[in-house]
Amino acid sequence: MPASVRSTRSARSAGLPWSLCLGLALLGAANGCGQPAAPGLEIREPRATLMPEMGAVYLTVVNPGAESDRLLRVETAAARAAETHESLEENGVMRMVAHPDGFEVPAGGTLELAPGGKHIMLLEPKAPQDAAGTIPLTLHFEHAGAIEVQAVRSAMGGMEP
Amino acid sequence: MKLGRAQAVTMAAALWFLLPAQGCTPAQKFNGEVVEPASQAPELTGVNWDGKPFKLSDHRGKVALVFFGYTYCPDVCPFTLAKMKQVYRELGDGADGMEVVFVSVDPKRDTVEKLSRYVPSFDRRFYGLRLEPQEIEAVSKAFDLTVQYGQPKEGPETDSFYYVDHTGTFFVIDREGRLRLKFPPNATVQQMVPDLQKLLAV
Repeated sequence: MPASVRSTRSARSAGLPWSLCLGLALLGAANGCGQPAAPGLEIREPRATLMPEMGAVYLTVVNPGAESDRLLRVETAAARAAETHESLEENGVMRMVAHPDGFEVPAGGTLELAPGGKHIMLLEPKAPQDAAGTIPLTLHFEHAGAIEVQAVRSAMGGMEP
Repeated sequence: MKLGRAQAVTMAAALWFLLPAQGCTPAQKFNGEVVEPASQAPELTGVNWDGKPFKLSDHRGKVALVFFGYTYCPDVCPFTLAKMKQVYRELGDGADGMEVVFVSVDPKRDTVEKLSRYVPSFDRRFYGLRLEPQEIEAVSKAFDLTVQYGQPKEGPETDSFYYVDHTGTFFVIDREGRLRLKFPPNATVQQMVPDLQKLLAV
């Protein structure tokens, strides 16, 4: 049964299964934690690098379930548009490829959005460049539905490889 | 003449010992791809993010790390500049002898003003150059770069946006202005720093 999971978490609490369990329990979307019948997706370490014209969001989606899911699209009030993209290298040439169909989250596996690979591209971020804090994102999954996260802002240049 | 295996090995061994004796620079081991023969690096002429003119040949006496990108690049370019910041940190005082030069391949969108909001946010010591389009063409030929401008995307939300596929190689120029090393785009700080230290020690 696809469960609609809503959780609002920062990277600080990301990775703690408790918050997800609590979120599910509060919503009544699951009968209890750790039940394989309605395994939720877990979003780990959502983080954003915002440049004046562009930005990128990175995160990890953990899918403990037996069925694959798909990150279909991303909404945010913090940019003009958010799109699923991938950076690729071919013979030393850096290319960007749009993934209008989103990214698969394999069953029992993870989807990793990380620098130099798959990422959520933010076009014209609206937030001021040097402000700290978080930006809100809504991740739309094919089965899990909408999941809200707060991506932790890393100041320009603060990103570590 | 066909050489036996033993003869070939002997010859190889002899050559191995002869090479340094002939007065060549002692063979240095680099992590990066060694450019041979090392020849004068192509000239780069543009305007830095602070509005001042820039010529690569004016920086002879320093080691220069040159790479290409654009400010609308959301992922790889910030990642690369963050990597350069770390290179500077690892080099410590050695960073004084090294120039980091980011060259925009997107002169249409990357004005000097835009570069001034981008490049120094990583490190004010970095150069961020705008080159005229014809200059980029010449530089692309000289550095053997691939630069391809994508089609602007359709739709009201993203109509102004297009990609620029570009060579992500790092070019390392020594204190004498010679192109010495190339690193692939995914080279790590740990791979680059020891090589740079060797060139800085000269």
